[in-house]
Amino acid sequence: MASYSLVVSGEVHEGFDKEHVKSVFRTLTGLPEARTDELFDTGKFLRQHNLSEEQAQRKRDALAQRGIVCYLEKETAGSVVADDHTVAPVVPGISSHDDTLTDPPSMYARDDAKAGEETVHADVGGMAVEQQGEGERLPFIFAGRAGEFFRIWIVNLLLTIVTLGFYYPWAKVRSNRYFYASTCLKGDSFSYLAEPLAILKGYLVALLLIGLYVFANIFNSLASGVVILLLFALLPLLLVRALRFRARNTAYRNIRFSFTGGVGDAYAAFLLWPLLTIVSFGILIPLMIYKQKAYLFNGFRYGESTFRFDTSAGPFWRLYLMLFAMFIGAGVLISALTMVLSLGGSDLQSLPMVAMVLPMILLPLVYLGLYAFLFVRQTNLVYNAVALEQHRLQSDYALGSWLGLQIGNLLGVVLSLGLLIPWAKIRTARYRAQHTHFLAAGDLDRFVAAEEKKRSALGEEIGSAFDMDIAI
Amino acid sequence: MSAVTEACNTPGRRPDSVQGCYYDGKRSRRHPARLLVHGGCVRVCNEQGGLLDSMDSVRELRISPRLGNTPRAVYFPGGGHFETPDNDGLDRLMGGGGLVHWLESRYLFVSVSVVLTALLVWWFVVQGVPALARMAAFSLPDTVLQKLGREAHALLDEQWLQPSALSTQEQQRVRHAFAPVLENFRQQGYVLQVHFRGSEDMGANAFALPSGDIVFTDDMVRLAENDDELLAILLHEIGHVTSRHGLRQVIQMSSLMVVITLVTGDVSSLSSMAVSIPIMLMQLGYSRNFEREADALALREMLADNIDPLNFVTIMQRLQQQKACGGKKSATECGRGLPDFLSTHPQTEARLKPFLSAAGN
Repeated sequence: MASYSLVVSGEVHEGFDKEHVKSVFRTLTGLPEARTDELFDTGKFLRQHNLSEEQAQRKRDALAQRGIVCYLEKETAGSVVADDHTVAPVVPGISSHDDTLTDPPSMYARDDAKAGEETVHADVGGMAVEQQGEGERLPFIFAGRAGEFFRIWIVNLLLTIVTLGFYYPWAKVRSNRYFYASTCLKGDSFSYLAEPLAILKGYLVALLLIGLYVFANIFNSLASGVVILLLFALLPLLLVRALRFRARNTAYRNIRFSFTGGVGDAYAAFLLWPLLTIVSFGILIPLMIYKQKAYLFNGFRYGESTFRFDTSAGPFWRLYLMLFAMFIGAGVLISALTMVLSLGGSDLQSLPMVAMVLPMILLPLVYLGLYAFLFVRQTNLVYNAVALEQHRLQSDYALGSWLGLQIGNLLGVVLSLGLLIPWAKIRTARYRAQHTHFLAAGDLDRFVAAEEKKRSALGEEIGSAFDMDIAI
Repeated sequence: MSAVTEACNTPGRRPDSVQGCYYDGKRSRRHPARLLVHGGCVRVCNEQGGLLDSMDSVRELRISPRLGNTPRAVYFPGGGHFETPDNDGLDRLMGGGGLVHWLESRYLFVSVSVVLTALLVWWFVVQGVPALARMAAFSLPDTVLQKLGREAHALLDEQWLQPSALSTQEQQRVRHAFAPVLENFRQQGYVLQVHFRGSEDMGANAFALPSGDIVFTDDMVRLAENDDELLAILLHEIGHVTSRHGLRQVIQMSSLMVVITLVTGDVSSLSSMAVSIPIMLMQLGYSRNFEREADALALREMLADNIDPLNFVTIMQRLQQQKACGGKKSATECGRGLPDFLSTHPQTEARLKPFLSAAGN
């Protein structure tokens, strides 16, 4: 009989108050407060081994009802010895029909004292604790160098110009390969495997579509409207194609990634939700962003292993509310400052100048600051929620250093008339690697390649032309 | 088989082998390995001397082309691959690293590339884009111009313009003065129409739409001291129409975007600001060239129609004085406006020079 393990990820379902959920969870399991905090506030996991499917599902549902995110994993044969006799009835605290915890199991003390298989057996029926966080925190290492990439970039550029653009797919593959191959995790680099010819085909089709639009636009506004609507309707489909193309052509340790998100879901996330957002005057933006990110990251696979997007919409609402509050606050501050300055000005001639110039200088700065704030916070939020089986990503972008990076890049690129573009790209990639970690729950040797499926060749190639920069 | 084990069991690093890792393509495990080439046969052996993969012929293996100092892979038909950072070793064993890498590693070629690319981009932006836009603009049918003009006119009427406050007599007087010139151009195949509109935001201004609609604001008409001054302005605007400047501007803008995207690759976040600055500057440069073209036509037509070129000078100077100082102070007191490279129009002094010298003759 197959056995399952139940994993509590430390996330809280949408609409539940985290502190309340924590106290409920403490009551249910008897887990000490410090450990509960660790589970819910850092990237650690809780796992109970060796449950039957029915047991595991019942527990999952009971926990989910109380706002606790958890999921089941089928245990591979031999990883845990299944012993049906030791499988005690479900602990009352976690069963679905009894809320009161009469006798909190004290297995956590035991878990701390003992380790290994014994713990697993002793804790059957309760929530055995296995701290996945004990695994390694692996850095992504980016080894690319600006000087080296500059030579690749300039030769790419020259060949592209000389061939009137036809070399562009080759240039793109070369440049992408450089960034992938320069990114290392646990001693192995990533590979970008796309064929330039496939990309060229995609570009030709895209060019045809754009040409069609321009042609229609010139001669008939009605026809151009139809073409635009058609393109909009096709956009989610193209996005899915692009994601599949990008994922399938990315590999690590000779195991390819893939993207399995459905077309229907893509239409919901990238057409329906934006429409709803427009209808709601933008109020639904946080929910839309959440749905889109969830669609993306729930769709990726590495070999046979699936990625998950382990968070709720709550943090997105909080982030955008904070942003909105800061925007209003900055607006009030600037108007107040302008008022004070124009009142204080004795020279009547300079009065409108102050009132005009001050917001013109301050507003773009505020806009940039808020944009940076949103970008940094959202990046962290999204990547911290990405999980691959028991493994997780961790992201710690910081506002100050990221702004420094971007301003440095901007100045460098402008002052060098574009010659420092490769330098800026290398710096950006290095920053991204330095601020992302892979929290490995175990070794990385056990991922299994997926069966090679037959694929529609041209479809994905068209998608490649609409390829976006989606980092894994 | 014996040859295989023999090759694998040879101890130490021999000149015909490279160190690296082997990945079987089924699981994500890394196998530290050596790749050996022995009499045309390629073998991958693990540290214990066991055979991991092999191929009878070097030629049938796919090797990723060399790219800087990044690790490269040798792909075996069974799905496994051998990866090594030892690029020189791999080149020695399996053959060259590719032409593009050869180019990339010659500093002379890289320097030449920088100069050549810079020159080509510069040439294309300064000469190529305007020439291309001119060609495209004049090969498109008139319906395109009509459509562009109609859309722009509707937008302007909606957002910036109000009905004219000029009296009917005044409008009639100006139209009467314009009539011979307009008739002259109608015979050349240009359908031109003059409109009068009020505008608080624009002040004294006149502009031409691609469709041949030329709009004078009320303030512009009031600013003129005689109808010949207005005629000078009209001829300048007609220059924009006959040279199809509106359409050319649209085409130039989109070509520039394509060039910039090619140069920078995917543009992301704040760096897009770095990109918008040169686009804006180039756009301003094109715009100044258009003004010079329109001026040239105006001067030519004024001389042909026996209108004193000085009329253009006087109204332009009054216009500039009003723009720079709000009509309050004299031109010398309020200083110069924006530097040339930041302005849509050339410096007035430089623009007026040809008109002045023509008037002096």
